[in-house]
Amino acid sequence: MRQLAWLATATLLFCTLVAFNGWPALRDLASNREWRAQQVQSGAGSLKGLHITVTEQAAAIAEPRPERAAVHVRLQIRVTPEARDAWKDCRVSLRDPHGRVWMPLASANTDGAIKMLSSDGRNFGPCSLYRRDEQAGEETIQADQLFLMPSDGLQGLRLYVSGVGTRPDALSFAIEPAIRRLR
Amino acid sequence: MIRLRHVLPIVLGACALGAMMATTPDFNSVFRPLRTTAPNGAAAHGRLLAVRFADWQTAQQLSFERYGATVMRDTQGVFLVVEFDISDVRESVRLAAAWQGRSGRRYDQTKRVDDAPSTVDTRQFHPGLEDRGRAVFELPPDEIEGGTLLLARKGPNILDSELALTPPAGSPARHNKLLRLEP
Repeated sequence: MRQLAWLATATLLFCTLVAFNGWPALRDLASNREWRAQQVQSGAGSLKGLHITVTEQAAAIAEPRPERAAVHVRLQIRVTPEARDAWKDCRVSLRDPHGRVWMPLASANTDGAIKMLSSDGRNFGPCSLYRRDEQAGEETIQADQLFLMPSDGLQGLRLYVSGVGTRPDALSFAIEPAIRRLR
Repeated sequence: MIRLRHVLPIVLGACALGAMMATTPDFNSVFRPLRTTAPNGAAAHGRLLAVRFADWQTAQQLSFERYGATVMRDTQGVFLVVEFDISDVRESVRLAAAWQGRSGRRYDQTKRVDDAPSTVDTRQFHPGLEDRGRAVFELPPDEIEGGTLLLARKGPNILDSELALTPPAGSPARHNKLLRLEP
């Protein structure tokens, strides 16, 4: 009976040690994954005080490279100071039903493509919740993202939006971009 | 005999503890990426993508276009230009390339050709789009033969994949006095 008590104590201590050491790793893993996505059907959704609307979505396929499509997505984001503090930053990605993930293009060449695909010929830049003005209260900002994808993979896409402060929670929007063929 | 019964468990415990301490991996070994090695001609499959060694050549001088101006680089060693085919990408990814020479020393891609066309520092690889990448190294001539190309995700890469590609036996068939890097 005494040996059993010792064994139980040792097992309990071992489990406590594993949980104590593993907790930061688990938190780290959770802060980078989006496994609790909130499916948004209407094109607008809220998470932790941030209200996001997908206002534009378009895909362009150029004749010289018909296997590739450039997909433009514009977001309108209503930000409050509390939401900004809760989200900390903003990450946007596209996913297909097979679990493949596309991140936005991040190069100087994307500016012209976004201006060409957007309805007003403007590029508001990538999604960022950076506080431009310390006194800023509630404000509405816009963000433009450009993705490079295979042109035969534009069906069943979902746009994921999350922040360091929300993950593993994320907003997930259904995306069906109108396709423009460029010569 | 009774004394031996008391001493033996202590000696065995000390031996076991010593063995564990002697074989405990160091910090770098515990957190380094998990390497997958592919023989020449075969693709190495990692968590996010697969890569195959495609071509290699050496040069004494390199030239390329950057921001509309021609840039020339020469070296006291030799430039090694390696090309590789990317496929089966699961998530948009940026890569970091290194060359591990015969001596075991590791050489990162040279910063002197940053922003040259198609080099990995300028590229992002996306799911569904087969692509070709390029890495340029500045090496002592005796580090080329018997070396290995290493590719991993750019940035922190703890316990993620590192792909090791074996080039053809011998030295590159082509040596250029001046090699122009084209897109």
